[in-house]
Amino acid sequence: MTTIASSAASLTRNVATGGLQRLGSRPGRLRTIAIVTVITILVAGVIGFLAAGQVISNTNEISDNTGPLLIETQEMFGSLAEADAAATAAHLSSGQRGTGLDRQQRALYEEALARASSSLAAVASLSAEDPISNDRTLSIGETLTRYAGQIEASRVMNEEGIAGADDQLRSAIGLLQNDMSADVAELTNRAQDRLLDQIESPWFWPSMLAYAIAVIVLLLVMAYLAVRFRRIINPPLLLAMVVIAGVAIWFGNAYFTQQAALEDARQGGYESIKLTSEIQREAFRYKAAESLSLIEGTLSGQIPAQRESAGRILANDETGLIGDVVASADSDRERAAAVELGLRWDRYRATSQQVAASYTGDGTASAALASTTGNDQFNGFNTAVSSVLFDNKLQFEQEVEAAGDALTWLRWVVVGGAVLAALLAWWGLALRIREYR
Amino acid sequence: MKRRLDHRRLALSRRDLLKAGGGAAVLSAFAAAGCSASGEERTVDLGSSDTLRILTWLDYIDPDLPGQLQASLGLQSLIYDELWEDNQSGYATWQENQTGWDIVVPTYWLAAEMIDDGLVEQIPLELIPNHVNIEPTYLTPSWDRGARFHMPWQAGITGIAWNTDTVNRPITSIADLFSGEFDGRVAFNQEMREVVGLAMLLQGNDPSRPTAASADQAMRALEDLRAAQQIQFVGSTREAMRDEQADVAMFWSGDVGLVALENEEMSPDQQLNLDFAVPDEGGIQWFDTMVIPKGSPNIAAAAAWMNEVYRPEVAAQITAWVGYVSPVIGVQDALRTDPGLAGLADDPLLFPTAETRSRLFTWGQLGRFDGEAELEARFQAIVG
Repeated sequence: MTTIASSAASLTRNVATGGLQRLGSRPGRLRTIAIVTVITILVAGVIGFLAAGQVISNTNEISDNTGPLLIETQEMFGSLAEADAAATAAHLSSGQRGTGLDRQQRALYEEALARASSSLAAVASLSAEDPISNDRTLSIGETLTRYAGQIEASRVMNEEGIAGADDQLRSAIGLLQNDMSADVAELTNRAQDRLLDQIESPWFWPSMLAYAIAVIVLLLVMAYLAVRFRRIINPPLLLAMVVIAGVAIWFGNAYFTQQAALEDARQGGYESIKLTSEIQREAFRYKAAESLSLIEGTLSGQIPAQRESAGRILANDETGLIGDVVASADSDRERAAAVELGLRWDRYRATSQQVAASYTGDGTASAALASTTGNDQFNGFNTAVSSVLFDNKLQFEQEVEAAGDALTWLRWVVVGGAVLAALLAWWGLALRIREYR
Repeated sequence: MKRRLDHRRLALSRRDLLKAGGGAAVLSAFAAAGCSASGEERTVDLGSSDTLRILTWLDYIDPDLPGQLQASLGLQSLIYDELWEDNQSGYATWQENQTGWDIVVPTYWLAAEMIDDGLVEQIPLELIPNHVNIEPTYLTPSWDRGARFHMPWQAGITGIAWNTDTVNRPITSIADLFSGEFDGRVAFNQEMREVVGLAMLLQGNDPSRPTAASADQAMRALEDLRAAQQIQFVGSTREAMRDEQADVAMFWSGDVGLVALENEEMSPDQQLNLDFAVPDEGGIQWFDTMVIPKGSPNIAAAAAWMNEVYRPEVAAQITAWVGYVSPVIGVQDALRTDPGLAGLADDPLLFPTAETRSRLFTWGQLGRFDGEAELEARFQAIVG
């Protein structure tokens, strides 16, 4: 038993010693180095692949989801502002009920409401995966249904001469101005946050670090071989290093081009979209306040200070939002659209001042002016907003597309580069190992 | 450079006729521009390669204006083709040579289709600062909100005109056109949306919201009238009335002024005396609009033209001559400042009152893939 036990222990010791000897021998050491090098390269490749995947998927998300969501949200709110202006105008022109004016305003209202509903459907589909955005969208849907119901009730009550039509309309305007506006703001904020998150790609720098490590490992291996084998250059290993460095440079170039394009999309496109939507909201507030004061009979001679100050927020100069849009326009076309926006706002505001100035008696003349010229001017302004939005949207989409284009082939380059570099590294070390056979 | 103008237009410059009482000034203006006064279609070679080519309707601009604008815009070549007789044939003309013109002027519904089909360039807003002068009502169509692809040229009203020498009472109802009272001497034009729209108004339906059923009902009424030979379809209802083919007709508001101009050149017994009304049931409103076809090599020139015709003074000159509703803000004021034209500033056909506007309907479109094409085919079968 003692002999057998002793033999087994000896065998174990011999095997272990042999293993260590093989590892310690040059071919064994080289094999170990080869495995470590290949693994390092493959790990860098996997990290690069994950990083590329993240960058590509973020860009796709911005292109297919976040961008359209931001734009549709603003378009929806713009359509609702227009619907509301038309509904109010139809209400204010109640003296002309059954006439074409009433019909035209109603047609405008229905068209705008249909556009808003279509945008809402798009928003709902785009925000389905974010529970909070989804809640906001559902809330907007409910508010929109209530709003349309109240507008319809107000119209019917007005037609039938039933008291309370004004209250219904006032309540409907309140729904848009408060509930809906808050939901739209939250939806926009969440989409904005998502956009900022998606522009950033936290895996990029770790992948660069992994590539750097792979290059360093390859350099060390080449240095070791140079010292041990007096071979200054191992072509496959050198090639592997060039491939890895090339992949890193390609990736870096694609990433920075994508980042620059997304930054342009954000600055030139999205920030302008945001600014435009702010303008739209403020202008709508201004218009809604005018409508309410006409309905309530509280307008007298001049625009109330509170509304006047809201108007100043929009001013078409260096102090106002419209002035900001003009100043931030980064193309001649965008500037022209922004200038038109400013002019059309000034026209509406001038008419609004006339509406206030002409307010006498029961306010019929003011209401008529507000629901004809005033409404036309507001719609002109609103379509100018749409036009600016259209340009910004186009710019945003083009830049996001450019960001996507920068990433074409990236995944293939990352995967192909890693595999090629690993094979080259293995080959380079195998050449040395073969020398011992 | 070549400029082609139909000779018929050269005899008729409303502005000059209004101002000077004759067409001599118009002819002299063209003579000064190097035109010869003979031939049906004149060609002027200005020997340059810079070209703006416009395909538009007949009788739709003050004939002085192309020359004036050519000079003020520094265009070396202007081809002004008035070959767009109606939307069907005009579009066919354009289709034969889609890059042959830099501006075409279809009616709004056709422009909407062209935009939808991607056949139209976006308006270079940066080159057209006067885009701000578009009346807001033209900015709201759902097919091009903000007028990014089109710029309205002129708008008109389709109503009723009657020959006051042969008809001894005002014809103010569409019912009169359909009554059979005039024994076939009732003329309609060949624009389906206007004709069917009027029939719909008579039937109490709203042409701004047509349905397949309401359009069918209107079409049946027209088919019956046509079968009974109570109505005729003509290329120009103005010419049909002038040629005494018709005593009553659906009529474009701008043709009223044109008839008055023509009358000035005729002896009293040749003159056509007519009156015009927006029907009690309502009239049809439409507008023709400038678009830049895709692939135009002269977009900058097209933009310069568009910008210029949107200057209120120039637009007023056009309005004074064509007699249609201008889509340009400031035209009324511009007319007021011109002593010779100030009277036009209060013309209800040029500047319809709110009451008139409230009775105007713009064809709302069934949707081109939703029955409108079939309706057009059915209409063309009636027209023959």
